Order: sequence, then structure tokens, then C-alpha cells
Amino acid sequence: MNIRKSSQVSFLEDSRLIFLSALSIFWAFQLLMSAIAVLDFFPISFSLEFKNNLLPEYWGQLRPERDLFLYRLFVISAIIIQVSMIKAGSRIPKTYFLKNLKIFIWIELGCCLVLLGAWLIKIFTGQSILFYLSLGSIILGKAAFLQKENLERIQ
Amino acid sequence: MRMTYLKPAIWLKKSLDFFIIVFIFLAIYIPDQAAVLAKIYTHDRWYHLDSFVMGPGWASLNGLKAYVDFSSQYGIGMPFIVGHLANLLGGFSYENVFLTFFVLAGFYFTACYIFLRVWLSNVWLAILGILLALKMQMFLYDASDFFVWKHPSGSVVRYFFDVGFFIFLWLFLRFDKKIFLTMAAFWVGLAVFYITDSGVYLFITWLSFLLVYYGFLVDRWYKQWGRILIHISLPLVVAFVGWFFLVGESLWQVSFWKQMTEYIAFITTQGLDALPFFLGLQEKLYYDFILGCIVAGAYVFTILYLLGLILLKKSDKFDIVPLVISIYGLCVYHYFVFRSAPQSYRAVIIPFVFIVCFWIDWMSKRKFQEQSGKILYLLVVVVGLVLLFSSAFLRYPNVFHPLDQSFADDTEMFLDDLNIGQDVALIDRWTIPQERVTLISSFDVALLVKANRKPALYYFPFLNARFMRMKDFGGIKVITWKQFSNVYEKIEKNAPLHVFIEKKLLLKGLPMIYYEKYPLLTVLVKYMHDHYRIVDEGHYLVALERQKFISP
Repeated sequence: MNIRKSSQVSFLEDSRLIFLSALSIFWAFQLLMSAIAVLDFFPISFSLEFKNNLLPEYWGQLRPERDLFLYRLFVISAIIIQVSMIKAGSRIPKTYFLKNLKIFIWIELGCCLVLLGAWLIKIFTGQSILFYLSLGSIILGKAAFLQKENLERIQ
Repeated sequence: MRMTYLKPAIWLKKSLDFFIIVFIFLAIYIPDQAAVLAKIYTHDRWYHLDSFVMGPGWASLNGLKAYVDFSSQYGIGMPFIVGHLANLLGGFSYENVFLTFFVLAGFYFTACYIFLRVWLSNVWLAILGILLALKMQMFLYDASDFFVWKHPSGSVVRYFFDVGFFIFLWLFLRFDKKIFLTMAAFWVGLAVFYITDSGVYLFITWLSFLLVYYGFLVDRWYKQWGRILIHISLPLVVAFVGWFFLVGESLWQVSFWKQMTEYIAFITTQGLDALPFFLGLQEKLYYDFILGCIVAGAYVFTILYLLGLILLKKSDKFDIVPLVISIYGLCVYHYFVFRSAPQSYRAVIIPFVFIVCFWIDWMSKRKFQEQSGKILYLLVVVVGLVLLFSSAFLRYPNVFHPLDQSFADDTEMFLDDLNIGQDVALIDRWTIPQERVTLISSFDVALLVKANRKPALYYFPFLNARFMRMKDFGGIKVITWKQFSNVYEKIEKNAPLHVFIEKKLLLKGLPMIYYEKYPLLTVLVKYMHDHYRIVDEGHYLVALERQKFISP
């Protein structure tokens, strides 16, 4: 079998890949949280036909959920983000990319921790407001950052 | 690049290999299976054991067809294979099924060790991996729920074929012989035949491997489309041939496939039996919740990193092994996502152990070359001590630990409750050997195995078991009205001459609330009263005979 020849991975590339992978996970996590927030407004319902067919003693075990969908969303989005970043990142100088990536990672990790904390409060207390507020602030913050970057680029 | 540290002499390596394999079997094997069966009986009345293998295994062993004559929640091949292996070990019985589990689990963990040895080329890392695997897969539970064998569906018996698949993949990559790739495809087919869900997960993993291998690692893949097609279809062919061997023409019937996929459809599309992912948080089992998340995170991270290497054309061909393991890990993790009982990630933990070993190997090669030897020694010692002194291991009655008093108490209660000698004799008097017997009892499986009779009811076990002596009823093991009407119609159509039923059910021996809560019980009891008369009785059962004046 003709296996393609690959070159040895350098320390720099290795570190960059580690950071990129972490960043992909953080972004996928934020996407997951956004999806949870949006889906909260669309309560999941079960099929009445199925419930009527179900024996009464099993009604208590009927707990429709979106966990499988959200799990797959997280995994697939992380992969898509990673592939996109690698494709896009190959056009950016490696040293520049690594230096900026480190700062970026810490910011994104902070965003994830804020969202995670708000989500935990939602789970434990049932209070969703902090969750939506955190998510909204993060989205607005990112939008403002992108806007600023665009303005600087234009100027 | 291979590790340059910790290279023991050949004789030491061989001694360690021998010692570890012996340790695996000794750690798993339980000499007094009867005591463990008694313990499990008092814990859950063999509910999971009967559903997983005892009922379907006995039916399969007696030539009945899965999804035609009996239901099987865990596929077609596993009950057949375990049933026949138990039979080979001295006859189908609870004890011999246990013995079969020990043998299968012993071989599985040995295969895990061999895989780690050849893949990572480090005996200490392989030892660390196997200790971690034993701890997390078999000895994770605390004392309140410590037997992995109480829930055999959560044991490695369910995923028996996965490690063999990884070994074949490694052999193929190492020696570049196509026969190993064909063997891997064949092995995936066996897994699909064995248990449907774990087999399908392995099949998806196989397709992912083919995609990555031919798509990214092989030049001019399109010139090998014939081989790719064979590799894609071989597992399906193997599975179908196996199924055809067991169920024959029924394989082409729509009803067979409906029955096979019915329960899966209920749980995945309707959320039956689902548990929320954050249940561990709600139950304040934070360690389990966090570890459950780390498992998924580790798989995703590994995939992203290795995918990056492949896309940047910096990967080694062996990098595909941890990638495939992580994909498989994410597939089997579906079980935990859907059924998020806080510790159920244990059931699907083996790929995670492989990935942990991969990252330790990675770090020792790239980041901590100097200290890696000492760290690895330390890890082996720590994990070994954690395993050996964990509550679950200390209370597991293998050759290292004698049975404690609780086993004697449970055995006494078990012998007192499951005193079925008279009932077996009753079935023996009124039916002939190998006859299909309609039996409505909490312990229909144990009774029919002892009496050497085939089950007549499609759902076998038929009831959610409750202690025989207690005035208790747990419901019929059907979920929908349609399933019950199928059972009812079958009884009416077949009009069995004799039916055996527990006295407490037939003669209104239960508190009235049960007859109100379980309308099906009332329907069944009424049917028996209308169409049958009592002709004989045993200890718990009565024998009913169909009244002659009622035409079937």
C-alpha cells in the first residue's frame, strides 16, 4: 500500500496544534451552551400517541431529552472548527499565530468558565437569568471585539 | 521514536507479562459463584442477569429464534455464544454462565494488555493501563453496589470484540499485510452479530478508519475502490450470515426487524428510560460527573489533535490507532449520554484507558523525557495500590479475599426464598422435556432452566422479578399495550393445555392495590380463571389445565 510520506512534527507545530485543539473545544462548548439556551425556548414534548400506547407504569420513565443531539452537536462542531482553523491557519505565520493564540485561549477559557458557572447555577437553582445574561454578554463582547478589529483593519 | 527509558531485561519482561495475565484471571475469577449469585439475588433478584443473558441464552440454546420466539435486549449472537459456552463448561446454569463471564472477561483484559504492550512498546505503561482498566471498569463501584456482574450489560462481556479489532488494526499498520485488514473487517462483523449496539458502534468506527486511512493516508485511493467496497461490506455480510444461521428465513421478515429495533427506537426517539446528563450533579456525585465529562473531552481532544496532524501531513501511520480508539470511545459514550446514571461511564471506559496511556506515552516522549521513567514507576505503584486497596476490590470475593458474613446472610435468604424444587417437579409432572411451557412467575428463567423446558412466552423473563415469598408484584416485562396484546393473542391462539402461574398472583394473594395499579395482571388472572382450572400445585406455583368445553 502506498502510504503518504509525512514529515516530523516540530515542537512549534505540536504546541500550536494543542492550542488549536483546546480552542476548538472551547468554541464548541460555547456553541453548545448557546444551543442549550436557544432550545430552552422550545420545550421538548413527547408523542401523545406513544404515551397512550405505553403502559401506565412506564409513564414515569418517559423522559424525552436532547442530550444525544447536543452531544453530537458538540463533537461535530469541535471537529468542523478544528478543520476550518487548520485550513485557515496555514496561511498565517506560525510564530505570530502561536503568540496570539495563547492570549486568545485564556480569554476563551474564561468565557467557558463563566458560562459553565452560570449553567451550574441554572441546574442547581433553576434560575436561568444569569445563564442568559452571561451568554448575551459574551456574544456582545465578541461582536464588539470583531467590530473593533474590522475598524482597525479599515483604518 | 520509541522510549529509551525503563527497558527491563527480556526475562523480566516475560515474567511481568506472565504475572499480569495470571493476576488478571485471579482478580476476576470468583471461586464461590453460588454465594455471589445469592448476593445478586438479594440485591436485584437477578433482574439484569436474567434479561441480559439467562433468558435469551436459554431460549437460544434450545433452538428458539431471537425476535421470533423470544425477545433479546442485547442482540442475537451474544445469548447464543454465551449460552453455548456455558453449556460446554458443564451445562447451562447460572454458575456456568458466571464462569463463562469470568473466562470472557479474563481473555478481554488479557487482550487489552497485549494490545497496550505491542502498541506502546512499554511493559510498564501496559501494566499501568491494565491496572487502570481493572480499577475503572470492574472495581469502580463502592460497597453499596459493588458487583460488576450484577449488571453484566455494563461489563466487558458486552464489548468483547472491540479490543481484538484494535489488535488487528495495529497488526495491519505494523506489518502492512492486507490479511489483517480483512481480519479486522471480519471481527467487526462478529461484533455486529454478537450485540447489535456495541457492534454498530464498532462498525461506525471501522467506516471512520477506512475514511481516514484511504482518504488521507493512502495515495490514489480510487485505484483500490474494489478493496474498499469489500472492506465496507464484509462486516455486514458476516453479521447477516451469522443471523441467518440462527434465525433462518425470519431474517427477511419485516416483523423480525421491527422487533429487533423496537426497544432502541423507544429509547432514542421517545426518551424512554433516559436520564439527564447532569444527573450526577443533582445527586451530588461531582467526582463521577466530572470524570464522565473528562472522558468525552479526552476523546474529542485526541481526535482534534490527531486530525490536525493528519491534515498538516505530519502524522505517523500509527497515529491512526489512537484516533480510531477515540472515535470508538465517542460512539460507545452514547450509552452514558443517554443513560447518564452517575457511574455508568464505567461501562464504556476501556477506550479512555487506552487514550490515557497514549497521552502518557506522548508526554514521556516529547515533554518529560528525563523524568518520565520515575513518573511512570510512581503511577504504576499508585494505581496498583488504589486498585488493591479499593473497597470494591477488597470486597470482591476472588481468590485474594474470602467471603464475608454478608454472603452467608444472603445465601440463607436466597435458599429460603428461591426454594423451587417442588415447582420444578410440578412442571416436570405436567409437561414433557423440551416442551414449550407457558409460565407466569418472577423466576420463570430459573424454573425452566432447572426443569429443562423451553419458554412459550415471547418475553422471557416475563415479569419484573420480585421475591417469591413477598406479597409483591413488579409488573409484566412488556412496555406497550400493543406488546401485551401480542402476548395475549398468542396465548389465545396457541391455547396451551397447561399453564403455570404463581399462586399469589392467581388467587388474589397480593394486596388489591396491585390489581388496580397493574391492569394487565387483572386481565391475565381473569383470563386464567375463565379458561383454566387448577389441577395441581407446588410450593409457589399452581398448574392450570385448559377447560375442555372452551374451544381454543
